[in-house]
Amino acid sequence: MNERILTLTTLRSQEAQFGCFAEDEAGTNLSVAIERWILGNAVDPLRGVALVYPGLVLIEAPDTVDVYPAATVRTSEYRSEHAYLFDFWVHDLNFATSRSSEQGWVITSEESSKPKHLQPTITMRVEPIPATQTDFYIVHQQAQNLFRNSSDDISEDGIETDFSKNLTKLITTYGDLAIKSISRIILGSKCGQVLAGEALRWIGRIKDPATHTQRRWLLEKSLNSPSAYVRDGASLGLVALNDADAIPALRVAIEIENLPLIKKALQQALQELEH
Amino acid sequence: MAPDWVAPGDIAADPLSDLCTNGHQLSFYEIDDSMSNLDLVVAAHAATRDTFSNFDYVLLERQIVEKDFVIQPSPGTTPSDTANSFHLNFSRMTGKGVAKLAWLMKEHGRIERIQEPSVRSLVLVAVKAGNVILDRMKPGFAEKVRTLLGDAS
Repeated sequence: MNERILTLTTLRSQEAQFGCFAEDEAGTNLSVAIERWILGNAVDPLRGVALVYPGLVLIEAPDTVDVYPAATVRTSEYRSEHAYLFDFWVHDLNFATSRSSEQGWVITSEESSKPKHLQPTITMRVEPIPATQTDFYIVHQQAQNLFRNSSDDISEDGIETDFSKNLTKLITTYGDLAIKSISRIILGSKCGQVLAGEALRWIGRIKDPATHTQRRWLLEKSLNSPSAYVRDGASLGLVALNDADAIPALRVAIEIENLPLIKKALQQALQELEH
Repeated sequence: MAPDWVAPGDIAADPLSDLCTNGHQLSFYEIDDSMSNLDLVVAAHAATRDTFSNFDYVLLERQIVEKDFVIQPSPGTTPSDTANSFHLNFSRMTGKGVAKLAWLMKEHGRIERIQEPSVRSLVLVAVKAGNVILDRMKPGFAEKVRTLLGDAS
């Protein structure tokens, strides 16, 4: 069993986040991030163990065992030059008792049994981090307010709005923290799809080298959105970003796109980046 | 992109928000058959914005719309006098009329997109040729264009 380091912090009020960084057995850099959002319940800092099973994340700490079955954990992954990053988004957060009908087991906070028939692929030690996560909380609040208070209406291309100005300001002020927060909102479908498409167009246009890679990541991920508005916005954002590293993601998106209009837009975007 | 609950012969409501009337009028440009004025019209309209962006448009044959709508020549308000001369208004628009126009666009229109880098080139070429007047653009955008033209020369 490979031991990994998992860092954990409790944010100022009602949200918590896990993250960990580790190396795999082959010595390849491996970065694993597990995030847990607890809304409406303040959480004390935890020390414990996180076990990552196929389609399952188990967080075991002295006073609690939380299990997130596959249905509530959305995973994604991407490779960068030096890292292999997994993201887990946990959607259903208010269960002290977790249940997987598929696996046939039930774990409550009183029981500390693990699903014995599953072997973890990664084990992580939980440690508190004094990091800048409170900053993230503040940024996330701002981003949420920005999207919440903006209209989900179509606006004319190339015309700046309060939304586009504030979005640009948020990103240029807070950098990757802002992109991380905006990613949660857009990829988690926490805003209107027209507004998300609008945001992606401007995210591609922003001149901010410090967030370039993260913005490209968000735009590439958004190509897989179930919303055509979001996919279209992502393709426009990628053209504005003008980064040939997005070509493989665009090729995949073209392959799987089934709306002719969006497929054409994606093909145009690919042509632009191949120039 | 219409949802699957939209019945045949009908259209979804959302795209109607792209057809905003002003004084019961809708703004159009007439493109000649050879499309020789298309680039200038695109450049001129793109020059009314705050920044470079993609340009999406729909081409409709005049004969498809002229029997149902009141079409009147009316000078445009772009920074290009030449492009403005191609401007038309669809007048006396009603709710039914807007819905009908949207349906005609969906059924008979040619939906096209010019990507941002090409729009940028069109604007720069038009400004350099004197067909789009820099001083009539929004100051921030005009400054970007000036910078790009300065860099290019």
